[in-house]
Amino acid sequence: MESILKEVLLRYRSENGSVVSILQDTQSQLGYIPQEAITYFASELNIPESRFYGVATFYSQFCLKPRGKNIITACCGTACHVKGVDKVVNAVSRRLRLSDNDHTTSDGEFTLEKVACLGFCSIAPVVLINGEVFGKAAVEKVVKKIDSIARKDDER
Amino acid sequence: MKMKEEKIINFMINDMPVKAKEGTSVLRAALDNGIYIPHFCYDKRLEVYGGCRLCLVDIKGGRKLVTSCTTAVQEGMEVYTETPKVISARKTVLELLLVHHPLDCPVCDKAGECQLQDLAFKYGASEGRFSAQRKKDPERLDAPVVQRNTNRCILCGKCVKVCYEHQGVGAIELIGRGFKTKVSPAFEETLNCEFCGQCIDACPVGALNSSYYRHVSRAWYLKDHDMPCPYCGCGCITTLSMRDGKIVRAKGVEGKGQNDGNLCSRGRYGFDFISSPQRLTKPLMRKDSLYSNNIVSSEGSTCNDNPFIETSWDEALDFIAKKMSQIASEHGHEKIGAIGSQRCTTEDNFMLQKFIKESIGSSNVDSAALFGYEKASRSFESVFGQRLRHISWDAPLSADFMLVVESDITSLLPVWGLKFLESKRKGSRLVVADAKKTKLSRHSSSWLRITPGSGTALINGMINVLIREELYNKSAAEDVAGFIELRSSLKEFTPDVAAKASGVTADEIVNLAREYASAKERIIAITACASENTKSSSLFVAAANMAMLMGDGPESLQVPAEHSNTLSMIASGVQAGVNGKNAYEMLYQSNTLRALYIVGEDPLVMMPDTTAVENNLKSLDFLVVQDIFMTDTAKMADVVLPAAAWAEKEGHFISATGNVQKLEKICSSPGEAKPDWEVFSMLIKKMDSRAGLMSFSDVSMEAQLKASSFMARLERSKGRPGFIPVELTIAEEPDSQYPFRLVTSTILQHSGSFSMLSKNLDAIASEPYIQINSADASRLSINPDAFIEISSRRGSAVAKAVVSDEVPEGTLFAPVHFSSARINALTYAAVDGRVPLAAVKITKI
Repeated sequence: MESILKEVLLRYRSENGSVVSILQDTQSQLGYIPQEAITYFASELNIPESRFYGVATFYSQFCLKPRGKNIITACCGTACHVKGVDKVVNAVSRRLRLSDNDHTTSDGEFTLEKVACLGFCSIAPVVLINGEVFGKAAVEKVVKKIDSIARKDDER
Repeated sequence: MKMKEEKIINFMINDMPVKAKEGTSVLRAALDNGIYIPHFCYDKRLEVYGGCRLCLVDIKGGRKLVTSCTTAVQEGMEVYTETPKVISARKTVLELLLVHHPLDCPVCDKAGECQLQDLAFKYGASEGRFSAQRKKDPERLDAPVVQRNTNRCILCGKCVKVCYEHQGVGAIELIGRGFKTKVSPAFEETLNCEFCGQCIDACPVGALNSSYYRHVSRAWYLKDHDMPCPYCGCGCITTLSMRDGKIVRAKGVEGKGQNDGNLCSRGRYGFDFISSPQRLTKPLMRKDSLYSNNIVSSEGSTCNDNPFIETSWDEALDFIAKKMSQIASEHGHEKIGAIGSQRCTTEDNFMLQKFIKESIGSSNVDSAALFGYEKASRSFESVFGQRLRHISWDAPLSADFMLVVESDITSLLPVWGLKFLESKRKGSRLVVADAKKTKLSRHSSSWLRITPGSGTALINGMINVLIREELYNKSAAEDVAGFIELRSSLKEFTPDVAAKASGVTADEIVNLAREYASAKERIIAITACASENTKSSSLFVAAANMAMLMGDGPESLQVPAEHSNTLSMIASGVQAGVNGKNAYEMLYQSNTLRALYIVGEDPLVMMPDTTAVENNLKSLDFLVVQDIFMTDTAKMADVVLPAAAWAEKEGHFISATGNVQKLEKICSSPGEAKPDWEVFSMLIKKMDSRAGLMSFSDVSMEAQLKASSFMARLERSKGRPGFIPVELTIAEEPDSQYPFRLVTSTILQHSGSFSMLSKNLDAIASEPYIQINSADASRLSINPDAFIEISSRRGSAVAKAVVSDEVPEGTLFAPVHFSSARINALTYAAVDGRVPLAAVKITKI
């Protein structure tokens, strides 16, 4: 991890006020933002840890806990809400045995995230699975996709 | 820097004509003219934020209400602060704030002085239209001195900005988003910061509070007194809140004193030292010295192993007078000496020197300032022909280039240190030359990590460049005596040579010299404290040489006096005169004295090479110590007298900026403790029955007269200036046996015996420690928090290791004031221009 953080730092060292870019870069490299990363950047750049932490907790794009291999993003915007995205979210939670508090399965395979609006309101409710768009998402369609990913992972 | 002429704007607030400088905000102008506009997030120290929306005002002709904090005044503008429209908007803002405010005013320390409470009261927003949703975060009581209750927070963000922008720390931040937002340290850990407490004073509600004040008093029972702080030379005004004859709180109030509302952790939390149970309450006499003088028979008193017995003032003073007269007649007056205190009032010090000089007839009066401010002042005088003047509070602000040499200003004079940060924020260059990573070095434009103690070499290197590249002020410098000598002495001291001696590169020295020379208004700031061991008189001489070479006046060298009353102690006559012995001769040279009178100083902890001091004190026939608690030095005394502390006596302080400030007596002193001046008044009468007792007003008048005439002489006196070539010599270089350099100083929370008695400050920093670089620690396999022993050729001390890259490899740092690990047993006492750095070794335990 140290070498990855060092590379990230090198890319942004010369710029001022690059807290967001550093966090984005770190997250794309590591999948999340570990506490050690914030501590490291803070001491190297003379920017207080609290600044990084404040930014990282403000934007929902940042994740401070390790995420699963597969990311399921459920849109909970107005249109999706009206079209019953809740049902899909509940079904996914049941299938992955996620409680209200945890968003990642215990085997680290899947993470379920809720976001405000993905902008696909015309095909609400919308769910993304590893970036693949499922419009007018029916419970069966989504669960089937999850099953197939899980099966593929098992085979590997 | 010359300020450009500022335009004055005329406009109206509530139909009243108001004037303000161009660029002033409407809110500031209103407040300056006594018109209150409610506000939460505005603070004059900070960049305007405009977040709380409470300072809305109506401007005639404007389409909508505007926030007065973000609106600049304009000619002819007509502002209304309390129209029905404004009041309605303000009510809505308050209503929204009260939706999730817990309204736990009955148990909130802030009640009675809470802005939210006052405004809710004023605007009568009692019934909200929204259903209340309360936050239920647990209170955070885990950190020392600062308590957080995020439920009461209205998210104005002032604490966050004061901490980050103004204080330069950034320990807290607004964490999260929306309803869940709260003020917290990163990762919601326990708050761990400087503990300046500036956030507490900034908080408009009860979200941030002082632990020691929790549920102590309702605000309306408090009586406030403004007093100068007893700690450093800043001379900040602290507002002390009293309840039932006790100080229960200290705060900074905007507009009071030159600190203008700012305080550091010592000023805000250190006041409780006066109520320490360790205070002395009765005069004490050593049994042994009573037996040997046949005052008390030794029979029947062996069962008690306390070496002292309590006595009355009368007996104690009779004994002192008798012994002093006896020693004076047997060995001569000049065998008696005294050490004064930089923490005692002008009156106290004046009476001490009066007693010694007039009643005893000796001129041996000096203080620990010899190792600090006096050292700097005399070096300065030797070059500029006049003694150091007091610092200027705003000197950093008017400079566009600041060079700070081996001085942790934000720890030693924390509030003045903020001015350097402010100046840097406003665009000035701040260059810090220091081996240790400090708050100033972190905020500097450039940090030169020089070898400890090598400041003289760095400056000499710069002078070489200035002369070689002809960057100096020829017309001013070349006529001054000693110029030729200075030039020839530093001819060979090229940047390459200087680089080798100071541990930075030659290019860095050349660039620094060029930058220094090209600045319009430059200052060099150096602290002069007895506890620091990286500076010798040669550094101050070198700095003065460089300033004079540029044709700069004495004010371009800013050297602050260390303690609350250092300047006035010197001014009131506590300094070694021509015929008198100085503190070094009295405490380090054997057989100088037979009797010594020490007031408010603990040489056995606070002065270098304590073993030498101890041996010298042991050889005395008679030692009197007058202090507020049983110091290590007092334990060696024949007579110990209990003194009244700050806030328990009247008197005056002169701050490092030269402000004469009055102290009130607001508390009673414990037991029979008496003000120092009164003790001397009684002693003078004991020595000579014809002398009358002096009242405080007599003493004060005489003392003030003496101090002010001294200060006035400082302004006037002008000897002949002349360059003095100096070179860097270090007392003890590391070698194979003692491979580390030991750097000492005081730290932010502690500066000596006062702070050590404070329970609040003890909660923040209670343990002695030794900082060691991580590379050294891993090479010697020293774990963090492991106990290590360090020893020099003179002594040793044991303390916990703190592994930190604040110190460079090969260097250890240790604070000196903890008597439980007497670091000064290792240090070196040098008054001859050598840097008193000590070489030490580490032994693992």
